[in-house]
Amino acid sequence: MNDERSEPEEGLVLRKEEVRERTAALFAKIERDDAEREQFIRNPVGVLGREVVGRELGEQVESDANRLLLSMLSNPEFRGWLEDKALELEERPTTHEQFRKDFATALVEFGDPVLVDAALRNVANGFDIVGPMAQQLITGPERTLVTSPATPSTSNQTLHSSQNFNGVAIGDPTVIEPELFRSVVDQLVNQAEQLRASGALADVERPIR
Amino acid sequence: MPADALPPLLRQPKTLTLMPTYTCPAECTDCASMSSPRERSSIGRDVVLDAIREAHAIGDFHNVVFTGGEATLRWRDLLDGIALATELGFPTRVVTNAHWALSPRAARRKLGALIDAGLSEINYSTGDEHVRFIPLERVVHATVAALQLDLPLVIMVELRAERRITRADVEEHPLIAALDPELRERVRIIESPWMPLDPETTERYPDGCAADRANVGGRPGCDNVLQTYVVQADGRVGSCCGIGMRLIPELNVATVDDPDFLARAISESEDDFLKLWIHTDGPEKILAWAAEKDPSIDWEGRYAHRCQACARLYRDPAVGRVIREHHDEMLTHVLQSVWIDEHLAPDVVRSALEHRRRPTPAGDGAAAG
Repeated sequence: MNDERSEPEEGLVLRKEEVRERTAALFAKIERDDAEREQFIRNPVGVLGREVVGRELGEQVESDANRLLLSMLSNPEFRGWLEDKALELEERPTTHEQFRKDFATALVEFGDPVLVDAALRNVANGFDIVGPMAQQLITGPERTLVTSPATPSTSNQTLHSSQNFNGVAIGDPTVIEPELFRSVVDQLVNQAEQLRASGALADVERPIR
Repeated sequence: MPADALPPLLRQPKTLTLMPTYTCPAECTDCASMSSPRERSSIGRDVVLDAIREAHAIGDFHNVVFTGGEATLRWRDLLDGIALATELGFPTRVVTNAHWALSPRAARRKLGALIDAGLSEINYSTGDEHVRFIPLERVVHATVAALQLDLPLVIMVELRAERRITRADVEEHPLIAALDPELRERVRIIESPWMPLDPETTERYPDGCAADRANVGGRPGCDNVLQTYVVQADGRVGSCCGIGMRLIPELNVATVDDPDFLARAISESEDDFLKLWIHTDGPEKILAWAAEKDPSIDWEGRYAHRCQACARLYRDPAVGRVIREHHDEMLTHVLQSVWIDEHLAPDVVRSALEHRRRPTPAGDGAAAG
């Protein structure tokens, strides 16, 4: 950490009123117009540049996780899985961790073939069994003991820390939290990238530990 | 909400958290709200009730939490707040150290009054810091009483690498162990890192807890910033219930003296791209991103608790510099993530649930299969 630490001279606030206003308008348009939505999914940089900032955007961070998740959410098989899961949760509530694992398994099974095959299925082949692999990717070896501070509770009435005065909610255990999707996909992509960087993905025979 | 106000960008239901007082019988080191017996800041009953009414009028809030400080020290105001929130249709939660549970009888009496006012659920805080001031037995008495009175509860236990009080101390306490298995199963205990308020100080945690390059992908966005709005005992309104919020001015976005202070807090917060970014990606990923731009930013293995990582974002000038200079390149990712989390995915989930609930063509009312 830097030695020059001190209170910032001015607050770290990135005020963008116009971005908020135009973004809200864009989202409303996307909701009404399927074509606009498709365009936004295919080319978020172009649409946001045109509709929100009013200029061509400079270099943008590409989000593999978002692309993968978007492909899943528009995938009929994944939607079918989600319906099954919704029914199952109504009958038998589950934990967040279990839901993460199930979701990851569904991702490997139903996700976009290009992205998933390139990144995850090869990894899964290293283990032969998709489920445990997905689980491994999500939890890491014996990693997620207790509540990660980043782990939401069973509803979207969250909070998680004994030190955090907002507490934790019991809530409705059947709620499926959309934000959980992206975090699971994010972790899978992150793990896959690390494995790829280490060369493990290139060699499906190589055991991954 | 003022007529000219924009609708909130984030659609997911919000939490109103009320801190009637910073006073607390305990004085834990690194207390999230910096509460203690010597802290005397408090807001009036009228502010508590106004905030609940405004949350109801705005319509995006779905529950009300009472915490502090120790909210039960403002007993009458707490009961009135719970009663009003209940009347307006909000589930309510109290977060407490259970100092009031002096005996099984006292615990039942106090909880009974809270339940009569409408309380929906309760959280107890304990661990090495708390038991220096509040014996574990009080949390146990309060737990048994909640089970007997059928009040849902969660016990939060502080987590450090070395500690005396653990989950097992609660589970194996003779009064808990003696309960019927069915009741015992309803005791939900969560252990969570106890963090230093200073981002420069590193606590020791069990292996794998602290964020690093290997696990940062699994740290989701912060589901607290822009979701929880906190009316604090000093009259400031915060846009998260993060630890150390009192030390981060940027997280305090309105005061109770402002007209329509909750609507203003929402609007001020959602205008800030950094808060949106923390909401979608979480502070650990932002730190990792900043460290790619400036390798002198050392973050790996330091933060098990995301609020400490968040404090680092706000308090380290080197991180702030990278954020100011380069945040524009994250615009697409963040806004697309907001859309996925707040619009697309909820719609897909809702549609899946509705499809499942649709009656079969035979009209027998069973879920479609």
